[in-house]
Amino acid sequence: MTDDSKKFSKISHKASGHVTYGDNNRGKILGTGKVRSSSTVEIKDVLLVDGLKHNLLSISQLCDKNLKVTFEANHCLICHASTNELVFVGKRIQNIYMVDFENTSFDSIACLFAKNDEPWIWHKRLAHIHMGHLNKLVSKHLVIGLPDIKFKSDKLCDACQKGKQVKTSFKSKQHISTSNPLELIHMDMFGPSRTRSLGGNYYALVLIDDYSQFTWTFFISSKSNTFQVFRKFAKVVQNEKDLKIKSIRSDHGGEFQNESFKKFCEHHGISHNFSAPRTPQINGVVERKNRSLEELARTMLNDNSLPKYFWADVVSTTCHMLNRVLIIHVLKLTPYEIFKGRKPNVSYFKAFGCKCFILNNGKSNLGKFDSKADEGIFLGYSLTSKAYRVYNKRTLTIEESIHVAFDEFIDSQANSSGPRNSAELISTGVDLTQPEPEIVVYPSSGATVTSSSAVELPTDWIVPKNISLDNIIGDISKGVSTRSQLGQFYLNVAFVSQLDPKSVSDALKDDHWFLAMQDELDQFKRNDIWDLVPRTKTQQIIRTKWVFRNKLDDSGMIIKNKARLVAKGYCQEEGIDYDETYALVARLEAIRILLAISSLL
Amino acid sequence: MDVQSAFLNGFIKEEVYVAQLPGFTNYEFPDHVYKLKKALYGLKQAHRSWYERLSEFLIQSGFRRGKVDSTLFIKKAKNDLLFVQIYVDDIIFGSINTLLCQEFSKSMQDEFEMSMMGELHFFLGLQIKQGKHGLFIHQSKYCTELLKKFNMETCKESSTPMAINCYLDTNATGSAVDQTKYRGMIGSLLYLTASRPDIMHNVCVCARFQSCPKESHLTTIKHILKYLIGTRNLGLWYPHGSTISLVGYSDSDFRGCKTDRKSTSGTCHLLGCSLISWHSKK
Repeated sequence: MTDDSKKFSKISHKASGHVTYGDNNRGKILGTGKVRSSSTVEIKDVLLVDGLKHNLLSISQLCDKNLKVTFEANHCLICHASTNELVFVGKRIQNIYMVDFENTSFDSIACLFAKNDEPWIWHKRLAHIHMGHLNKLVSKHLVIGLPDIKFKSDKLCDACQKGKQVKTSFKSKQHISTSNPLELIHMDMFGPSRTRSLGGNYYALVLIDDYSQFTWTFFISSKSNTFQVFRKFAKVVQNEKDLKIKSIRSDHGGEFQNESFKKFCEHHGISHNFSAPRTPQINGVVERKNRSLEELARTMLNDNSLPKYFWADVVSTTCHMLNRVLIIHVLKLTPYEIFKGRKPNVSYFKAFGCKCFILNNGKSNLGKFDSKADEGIFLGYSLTSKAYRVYNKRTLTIEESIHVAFDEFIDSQANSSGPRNSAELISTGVDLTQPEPEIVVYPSSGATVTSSSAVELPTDWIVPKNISLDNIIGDISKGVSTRSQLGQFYLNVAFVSQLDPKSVSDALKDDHWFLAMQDELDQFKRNDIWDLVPRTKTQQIIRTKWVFRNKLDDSGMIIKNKARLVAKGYCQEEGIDYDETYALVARLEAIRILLAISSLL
Repeated sequence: MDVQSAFLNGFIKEEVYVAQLPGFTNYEFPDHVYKLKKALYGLKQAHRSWYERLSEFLIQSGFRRGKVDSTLFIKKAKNDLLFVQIYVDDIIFGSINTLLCQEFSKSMQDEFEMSMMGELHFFLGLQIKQGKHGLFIHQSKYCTELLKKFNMETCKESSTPMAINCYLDTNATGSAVDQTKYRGMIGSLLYLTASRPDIMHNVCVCARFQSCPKESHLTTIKHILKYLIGTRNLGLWYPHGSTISLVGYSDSDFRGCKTDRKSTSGTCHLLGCSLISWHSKK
């Protein structure tokens, strides 16, 4: 109890009752609150009483707060009842025990700090376990020796952050943060797919309007085309809704974060938001859409066991379908209705990949008795005209046509196994001497399947990745040669042979070597080496040999073909063909002496 | 300067016949043979005939053959001297009088087909740099090629050609290495000693074990090659203007070989300040 309202750190003023003193006088309670006398000690539930001369501490209330008060001859100790830990000390002055909160000594401050650190010490001792867990241990008395204190995580533990920090959680939004279509467009790209689509594309660009969740997909062959596609899209869609795109959101991919995008956004006043690095969650709208599209596309492809190069068509069809049937749970409407303002019509929807017949609508010149329709596979809906996209099995092309009859009820399993069964029937059941039967009758169902219709789809377009070394022209280990190097190279190449002939007959076939040999013989003629004389029986003939040598320059290029005629000296006999052979050769010392003398002179 | 197809210039005294060449047969006389008047490459007497031809020509044009070194020719004209040193078909010549040099080169060109005339840069694999203060002989190009040939160009360089107390013996128990490669290395290194007296001793030590090279010997050679990586630009420096005084030094290691008690001796000779000759021999 106190009379001084300045002592309170927190106070709630309400007059509620009185306090009766020993002399039966009554003091009015003006309010209750917290008193924080020094930085570390806080006293709760303090009454502000009118006309009180002294500040009084209630022993009974201290005891209620789980503290123990011990009175001794000249002081009193206020401790925690369970741990015997000192909270503060009162001094006896005459007959009154007084607590001086203003001038608490250094020792007691340290003591009070120790009390504050207690939970953190236990947090450390118990391997940085969570504070809530410690509270549970204490409250349920599951361990012995843990002090009965309130464990509160009132600050961040550095070690815990370093050791245990996790990603921020991303809560799903319960409202739409935009109010108009085209206010925010989410963009992302998935790919490259391993298989090239029929149109030659590897990537799919997915764009979502934030307000309506209306989705567009575009297929592109390389990431560099992303900007052109987006620019086209922006023009079309802004014109359609007569609204402006206000902002776009994408990740930091190079296809979005580039100069062209920056310029475009600056020019049209579009703000380009990027998700934080390595945080795809921020771009979650479109990432989730990617998942839906891919999952559904995979399902539809596998359902019909269609080859993978239809992936672009199936994603496109999925997107078309999702726009019309998805329910945006806040507005309880489909994206199509929100975006276009009318209810979508799904009556023309057909099962993807089902068998269909395409009327040959004057497309090719038919004879009177040729079949009027081609069999095909249903792939989706034309984006530009009211037509179906179908894959013609006869011409192996994709067509857009409205004159299509669908057969959705054939089980896809039977469809795929049908031709194989019929082939089996041909080879086993039916007489082989007959010409190939036009119609085969199923013994069980009685349905007819024409065997000639079993046109096998190509399973995959083969794009070779590992090119064998034989197909690579040139030396791989050689590295890149520049044009100036090549120029020098060809300068020599034009006049010298790159071959190293093994024999004379080889060399005679090559013009360059022939010229080199002619050169050598010309020199013979100039030097007047020999005379042609008739052969006599006593002559010892020495055979000759051509030696071919390519002269190289510093970089190893052939710069000259040199042919030299040598005599086979080993056939010579001493006395007949030669006499003395010793020739004087200078010693290296002699040459060095000459050089030394020349430097001295 | 260099003489083109030098051996084709030598006259031969003997009667030598060679067969006609395939592809270049004379259609009139297909059975005829050639009687040689001059030497061909490959003939045993080709070197000698060329030397005789050249020396005859030089003596005719007033040169005097050196008495000790018979491949040095000296011509005296008044007070000037012209030196001509021949190494088969490579010729170096020099004189203080430039007129004399020009005269000589002209007379040579008239007689033979010459090429590569001019100031001396490259002679027998020795690169020669003529500077203001002297003459520098080195073989850095040869050295680089040598290292490339033995795949040692990327090795770490070492600061010495050989360990200080390296003692090599026949090492009978060691594992044998490729003899051809070992000899190739020795041969290449021996030529490098033409401008590198610092590796002379080491190469000579290794060369003793050519008949039966072992792993330890190859390691020592590779040590030399590693030393060359860092010192490939070293060479001989012949400064201008020192006095002509021949000084010789020799040393011996007093029966250093532990197996046969033979000494290894070494000598070197300096002419003025220029080192001209050295050798190391057991």
